[in-house]
Amino acid sequence: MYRFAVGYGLGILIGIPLGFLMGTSKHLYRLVSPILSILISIPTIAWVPLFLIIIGIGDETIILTIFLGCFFSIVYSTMYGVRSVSKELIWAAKIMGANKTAIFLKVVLPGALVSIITGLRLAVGYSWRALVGAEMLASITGGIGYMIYAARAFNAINRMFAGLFIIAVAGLLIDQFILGTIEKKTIEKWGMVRRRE
Amino acid sequence: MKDKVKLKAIGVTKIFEEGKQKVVALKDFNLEVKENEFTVIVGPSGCGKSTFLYMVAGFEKPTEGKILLDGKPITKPGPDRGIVFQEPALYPWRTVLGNVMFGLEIMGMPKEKAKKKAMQYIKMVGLTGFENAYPHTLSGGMKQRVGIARALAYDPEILLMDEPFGALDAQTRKIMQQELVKIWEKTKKTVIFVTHSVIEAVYLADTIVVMTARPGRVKGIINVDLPRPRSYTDKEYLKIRERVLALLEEEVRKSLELERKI
Repeated sequence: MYRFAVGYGLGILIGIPLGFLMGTSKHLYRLVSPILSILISIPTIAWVPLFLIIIGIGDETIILTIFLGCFFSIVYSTMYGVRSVSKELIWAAKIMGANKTAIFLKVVLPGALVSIITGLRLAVGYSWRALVGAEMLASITGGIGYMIYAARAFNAINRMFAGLFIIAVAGLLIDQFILGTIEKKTIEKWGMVRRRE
Repeated sequence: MKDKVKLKAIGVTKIFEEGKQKVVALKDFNLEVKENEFTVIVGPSGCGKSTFLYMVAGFEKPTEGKILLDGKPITKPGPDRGIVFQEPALYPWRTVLGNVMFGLEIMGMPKEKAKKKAMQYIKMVGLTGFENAYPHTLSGGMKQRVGIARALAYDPEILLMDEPFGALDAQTRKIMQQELVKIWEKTKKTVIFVTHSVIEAVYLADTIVVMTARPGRVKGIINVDLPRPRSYTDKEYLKIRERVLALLEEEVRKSLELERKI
């Protein structure tokens, strides 16, 4: 769980700002976009053997894998969120005298939120996938992925199911209770997405 | 002071380049807008009337020529101007009050004072009681009222309106025209209003500027010296409407020809 939090947190910390920069700056977009396009097509788990050699077995490898798992979806969704903010909304702020910081904080950031939240949701799933895969390959100290994998040696099907169950519940909790609550209090209340019926 | 020139466009030309294609939107456009006057620009679609408004706003730059506001050339957007778009462009994450307060907030006005001032304008546009509503819960006409209040709240020198009622149904549109006249009489702002509806133009304007088909130029200027509120069926009103329509018709034909060529 701690590995997940660190990896996912890093994904947010680096992914969202990069997404914003790519959404705002054409030059950066042209520079970074091709690199991302190539990297995004590589399954995260395929990196693990390489990391094992470079970094070795342990938390760092797992965290890095989780980070890669969620990073792209966060970057892309943030970027598209920024680009989806209409010209008029930005113009209206400009004519009212808003400087770049104010436009960013008061217009672009909230305007991009629908897309960012979608990206974060997808990223939860990707991160879990990456975590379990990476733990199976690179963990010596336990973890849910490791637990499922290790259970195989003992034919302990019940433990495998327990592991799957924990992943499902944790995913649900993050999605519904954290992201779902943010969604309800922001974009749903503002009518930027329809309320769930 | 009456008859003081508020805004002056001198030899404004705007050319849009998209790849190899060059589109001359405006060519040698000259215009004077007097202080406290309600000026309406009408013209066939694609004649560059909105482009002109965006240049006044500072969103676009003239390719040649200049636009002076109070004698100073316009170089970028700024709070001495207010704008209302066709789509109201409200911030969905802000309430009605939050939207109207936006400009005051940017100015750095203390919150309580800004709130009080915003409430005045919310009242002026007839939305008292809706200040805490989010835009998505409002009708098209109400949203546009918020747009007007937001543009007026920080007291700009000049109000720019880009077909603000173009997306409303006929009934709402009429009501909004009447409301706008009332609001304008209270504030006496200098207004530049762009529309393609002649009915609307004659109902609202002190001065109607008829533009030519692209490249846009001033075809004719008609003063409307009728008392307000005007009647859509008044004899004088209809006479002026006929004059504007006659001027415009030729240009609309040309504009249609242009479209056919493309």
